[in-house]
Order: sequence, then structure tokens, then C-alpha cells
Amino acid sequence: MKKFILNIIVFIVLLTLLVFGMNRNYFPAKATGNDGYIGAIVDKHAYADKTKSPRIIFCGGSSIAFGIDSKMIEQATGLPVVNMGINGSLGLDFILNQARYVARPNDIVIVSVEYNLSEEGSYKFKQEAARIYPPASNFFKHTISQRINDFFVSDFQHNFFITFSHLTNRKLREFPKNVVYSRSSFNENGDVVRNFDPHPSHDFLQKFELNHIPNPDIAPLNSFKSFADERKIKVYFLFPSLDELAYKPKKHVVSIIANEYNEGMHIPRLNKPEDSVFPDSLFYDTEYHLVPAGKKIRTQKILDLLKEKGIVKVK
Amino acid sequence: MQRLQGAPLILSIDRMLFNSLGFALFLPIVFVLYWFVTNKNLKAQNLLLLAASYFFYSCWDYRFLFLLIFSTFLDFYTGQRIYRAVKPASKKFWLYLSVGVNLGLLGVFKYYNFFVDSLAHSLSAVGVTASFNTLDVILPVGISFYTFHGLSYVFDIHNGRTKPTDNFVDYSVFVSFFPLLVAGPIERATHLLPQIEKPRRFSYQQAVNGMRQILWGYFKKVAIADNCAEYANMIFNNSGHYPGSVLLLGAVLFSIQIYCDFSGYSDIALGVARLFGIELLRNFAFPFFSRDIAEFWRRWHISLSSWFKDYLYIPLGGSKVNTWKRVRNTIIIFVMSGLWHGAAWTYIIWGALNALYIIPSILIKSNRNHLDTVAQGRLLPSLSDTFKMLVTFMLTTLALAVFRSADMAHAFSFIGGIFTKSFFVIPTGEMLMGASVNILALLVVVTLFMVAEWLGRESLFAIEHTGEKWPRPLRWAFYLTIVLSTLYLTGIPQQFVYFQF
Repeated sequence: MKKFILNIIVFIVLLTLLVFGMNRNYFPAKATGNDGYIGAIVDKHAYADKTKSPRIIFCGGSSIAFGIDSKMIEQATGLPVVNMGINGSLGLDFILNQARYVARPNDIVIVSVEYNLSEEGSYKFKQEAARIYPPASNFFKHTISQRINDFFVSDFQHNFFITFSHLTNRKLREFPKNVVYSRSSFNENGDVVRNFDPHPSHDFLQKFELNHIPNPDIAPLNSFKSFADERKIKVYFLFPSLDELAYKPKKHVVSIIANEYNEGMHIPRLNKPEDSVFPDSLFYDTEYHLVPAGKKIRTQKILDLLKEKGIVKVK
Repeated sequence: MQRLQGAPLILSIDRMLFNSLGFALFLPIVFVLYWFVTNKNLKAQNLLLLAASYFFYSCWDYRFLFLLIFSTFLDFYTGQRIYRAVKPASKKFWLYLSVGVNLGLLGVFKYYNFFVDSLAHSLSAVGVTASFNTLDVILPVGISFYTFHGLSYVFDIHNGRTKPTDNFVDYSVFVSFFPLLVAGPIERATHLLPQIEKPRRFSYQQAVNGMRQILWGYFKKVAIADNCAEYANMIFNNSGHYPGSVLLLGAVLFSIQIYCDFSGYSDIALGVARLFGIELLRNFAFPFFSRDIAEFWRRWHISLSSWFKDYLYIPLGGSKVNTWKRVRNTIIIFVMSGLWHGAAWTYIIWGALNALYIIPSILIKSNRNHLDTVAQGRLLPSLSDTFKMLVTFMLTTLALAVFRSADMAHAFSFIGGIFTKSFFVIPTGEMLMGASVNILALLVVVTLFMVAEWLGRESLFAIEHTGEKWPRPLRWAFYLTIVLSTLYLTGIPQQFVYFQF
């Protein structure tokens, strides 16, 4: 019995050491996937780090990445603009924790999240963001089970492949640089700027209704507002851009969500949902992703709102 | 084999899956308590096994624990009444009561909606409109398995093969021993109960064998089955978009998936039981190396096949009746076997198809031609055996395509889709995009796995004797390679297919 247990323990220790050795990148290697869409997180943080407050920081999912012309706002306001939007799959928690990490006193944070955005998001996606940009590991929760899984499975799979490629002088497959969903599609502010016309058909958008999930994101948004108030950070909420084809079947639920925000959310709203609805021709592949022409129109609307509400001086 | 970025989770804690963190904690705790705390007291050991089994089951759905306890008590009680009854009529009464209630519960939870829907369809086909209420019920996990455990107990007592136990705890452990509770193997009282009633001693060799079997089971499930499942699901769920060649590939991958999934589970169950000094019935014996369908069924889900043979086929006359009655009996047990899997026509037709495959061999009395292991003592099979194995594999694969299909219309279109001109279209990587693992890499891994299975086909499981005579460092390096390969090849986790039955 003792021999059996001892053997099991030694075996587990050996296995853990082997995996640990591999996960420590014993053979120095660069991480794959850095050039993918999620790789933009590194550049966004680099820009956020080098800009001085007060700044305008946009937070949200891909509707922000595709929907803001930061240069236009910089020129009109004279303030640095940081676009932190990447993808809604990161989840509201990640997006708001990232905003907590980036924002400094006197900054203006504009939160614009897609409807029914999951608080938790996709662990796989968040984990990839954290692999490429390690501080992002603090933007989301890890259960013990996930940590063990990360160590023994996902990190191991990643590092084993890198090490194997290194030892065999195998060239790692490079991420294509000329596609919309790549790191190179972002400008230094964090906006997606690649020319992505022509856009695919959007007829399918009319089919999808929106489920009503009561008050899904109000508590985390209010918690962020309290955080911002304590640190003298101004925070505003902007409804996400939405294709009018998609808006029609979702209109009823969107109005319920807007009412819930009016009643329960402490972050001041800059606009109404219908103000962010744009013609179908201004959208790219999803109901949230504006094409460059749409982005200009939306950005102008935002500038008008900032001016009208007296949030910043606009030329 | 490079995966797409961001590997999926292998470990989850919500349910006590064999590949969950919960189970990784549960098993060593029970093991230590079993061998160190309750070691010298059989009653305490069995009580611990029962508590652990009920806890294990409660992690799935504690509400159904009461159903399990009720079913256990019913068979325990009726078993005693059958044994003590003097008059044959009384014996039959208690037997029918047990069978009736057990099958009644199974019927309500598993088959009620199916039969009601089928009746309504049949009536509407003859112009009668009938509306029946269906039940909104969840299928209690493992019900088909533990019901069959209990039934085997009362049948064996009724047939005089065994005596009832007076110890409710021992009997409860027999029904609900956690390694076999949710997906078998389906045990027999004559085999398992005596092991539970006798003191068990720790055997180093048995425990080490158990660990090897667990290791191989995980490899089959996680590295092979889950990766094959990604492609099988993709191809079956979008079958209208693929040429015949890809559909055939999907069917083949599903065959490998279900074999590795279920036999992997069985290996883990058998290995875990061995850690507790208990030997469970073997469930798979390298079925893909069968030379005809009869041999396949002696090697596939053995505990279910033998259950139907002992408690249905033989009582119907077995092979001691004339040829036509044997054919009838064969059709009955295969259809019942299909129905056991679930309330759907696809399962029933799968069973019937297997009966059709096997009937010619019954008619020409060749169904017991292959009782040995193929190419015994040789490295390679003869050309004739290779051909026979390929034909058997393809026949079972086509039947399993029916099993996997969403309904019979899907099955017809899927199999019909294979036998078209597009069968000759060569599958390309572009056709099979969307999975997290490259198809060519997967096929290489599957081929290596089949080679390992072939080399180990004369053992209980493929790596049972691999490296036994090697020096320890080499042997351990071999085991570590299997563990690391399993970790590296971990695919998107899929629930064990047989949990739904």
C-alpha cells in the first residue's frame, strides 16, 4: 500500500514538474496568436500608458472598436482618446475591470456595451487576452478548477507546441496581417481602421429578437460608477450603435432595457437607444460593427452630445 | 497538432464526471478512508462505499437519489420474498411486482413520451386525431443501468442462481457502487455481490493495473473520443452541406468516438473499482477487430449483450429452438437492445439493422465461427481476416450512423448522401474547417491509437501488459508520455455519450 501511494505521489510530482518546466517556457519562445485580433489589447494598453490625463476613454465590446473615430474626437476636443473596445466576449466584468486599471483621476470614461452582454464572457477569450497581455489576468476571476486546467491543459498545450516548434526549427504559422480581424487593423488609439468593404448581406438580422434578461448589467455598472466617483473619474453611458434591420425585432426589449437603465443605473446616459440606430448600409458584418462612413457619422453625433451636455469643450 | 488559441476546459466541478476536479478530489479521499480508516471492518468499508456512491450520485441530481433508494429497496425486498415464497405462484407474484415497478419507472421516465407520440402519429396516419398529454420529465441519470442491476438480482434469485442477501447495505452497494452507477458496466449479483460480501485485501498489482486501465480510459475519452466528436458533430449536424466522402468520414469518426467514449468510461470504471479491490465485468473486447457481426456483439457492450442473452434470449428458447424461432429471438433482443438505449426510432432501427446483419450467419450457422482473437499470437492479420474486419467495421459504422442521426429522416438522408457520386469527391481541409484540431493530425493520432489497440488486443485493455518487463524509468516515461499526450490532445470536452441512457 505504502509503495503504491508513494509511486502515485512521485508520478504526480514528476508530471507536475514536467508541465511546470514546459509552462515556464524553458525554451524561450514567443507566444503565438499575438498578431490576432485580441493582440490589439497590448497596443491599446501601451497607448493608454503613454497618454496623459485628462483623456477620453471608450470602453465596451466590438461596437466600440468598430464604432469610434478617436482621431476625429482628439482633433475636436484636444484630449487624447483611448479606445479600449475589443470584443463583447470578454464580458462586462473584464471590460469594467480593465477600465478600472486604465482610468486615472480627471479622465472621462464612456461606457458603451452591447445589449445583453454577458457579465462573465468567454473564459477562453479572456484567457487568451491574459496570455498576450499578462496584467489582463487580473481583469477576471479564475476558479480553482480553471487555474488547474490552465496549468495542465491550455498553457501546456500552448507551450508544448511552441517548444516543439523551437526544438525542431519549425516555423510558426504567422497570422494573416491583411484581414479585418487582426491586430494590424487597429490604429494607435485602438480603433479598427482597415478598409473592410464590401460588407456581407444583413438580411438575417431581421430574424433575431432579443431575450429580456432583467437588469443583467446594472449592478456591475453601478459598482464601476462608485469606483469612478471615489477617484474623480467622470463616467457616462452611451447606447451601442445598432443596425436598423436588427433594431426592428429588438425594439420592444431594447426599450425595456432602456427603462431599467433609467430606473436603476447611476451612470448618466448620454443618449437614447434610438439615437444610436443607423441605416443598414453603414454596417459591416454584424449589427454592431459600423463601416468607416458609419463610424464618422456616429462620432459626430457623440461630439455633438459631449458639446451639448458640456462634458468637454468641442471645437 | 496545433490547436486554435485558447484550449477548452477539461476540468469542471459542477457534476461528478470522471474528468472533473470534483472526482479528482473525491477518489483519493474515498480511497484513503477505505484502506486506512475502515480497512479492518467490512461493514464500515461497505457503508463508506455506499455513502460515497450516494454522494457521487447526489452531485448529479440529489432528487433522483430517492428514486435510486426506492428501486434498491424494492428489489432487495422482493428478492427476499421470492426466495422465501413456497408456492410458485407467490414467487411469480413478487417477481412480476419487481419487474412491473422497475419497468414502470423506466417507462415513465424514459419511454412514456415516445410511446404516446408514436401512438398519436400512428392514429393520425389512419385518420384518427388523438391528443395525449406528454410528461415534462428529466431522465434520471443511470436509471437504465441500475434498473437492470436490480432486475438481474431478482431474476437470478427466481431462477435459483443466487440467494438473496440479508444485508441491505451490501445490496445497496451492489446496485449503486459509484464507478458503475451512471454508465455501467451492468453488473450481475452473482459476480459482484460475493465480492462485496467478502473482506477485500489491497493488492499492489491489482491497484497498479487499475491505474493503467484508468490512464488508458482517460486517453481514449479525452484525446480520441472528444476530438473525433468535434468532427462527427460538425458533419452530422450539417450533413446536407457535405459530399458523400465527408459523410462517410463523419460516420467513421462517430464509430471511433462512441467506442472510445464508452469503452474509455468503462476502462475508468473498471480501473477505479480495482483500486477498491473489486473486479467489474468487462464491457469491451476490441470490437473493431471483429471478423463478423456476431463476434462484434460478443465484444461490444458485453455486459448489456450478455444481460439480454441471459434474461431474454435464453428464456425465449435461446439457440435450443428451431432456426426461425432463433431468428425471431434474435430480432427481439436486438430491437430491445436498441430500445434500451433510448426512446427513439433511430435506436430501434439501429438494433433491427444489427439483427438483419446477424441473421444470415444464424441461418448458415456461422455465428460462432470466430470465438478466438483475430491473428492470435501473430503480428499481422491474414488478408482474409483484414477484409472481414473492414466489412464488419463498415457495416457497424453504417448502423451507428442511424444511431447518431437526429431522426429517421436524417438517417436516410445521411446514409443516402454517402452513396452518391459525391462519394468520390476527395475531402479537403476547407470542407472541414471550424474544428479546433486539424483533421489530418487527428487521423494520424487515431491511426496510432488503433495500432496500439491492435498490439494489445489479447489483453484486457490495450496497455495492460505494455512495458511490464521494461526498466522502471522507461516504463514511467511511457506512462508520462500517455498523460502528457492526453493533456496535449485534450479536445472540447463532451459529456460521456452513454450518460444519456
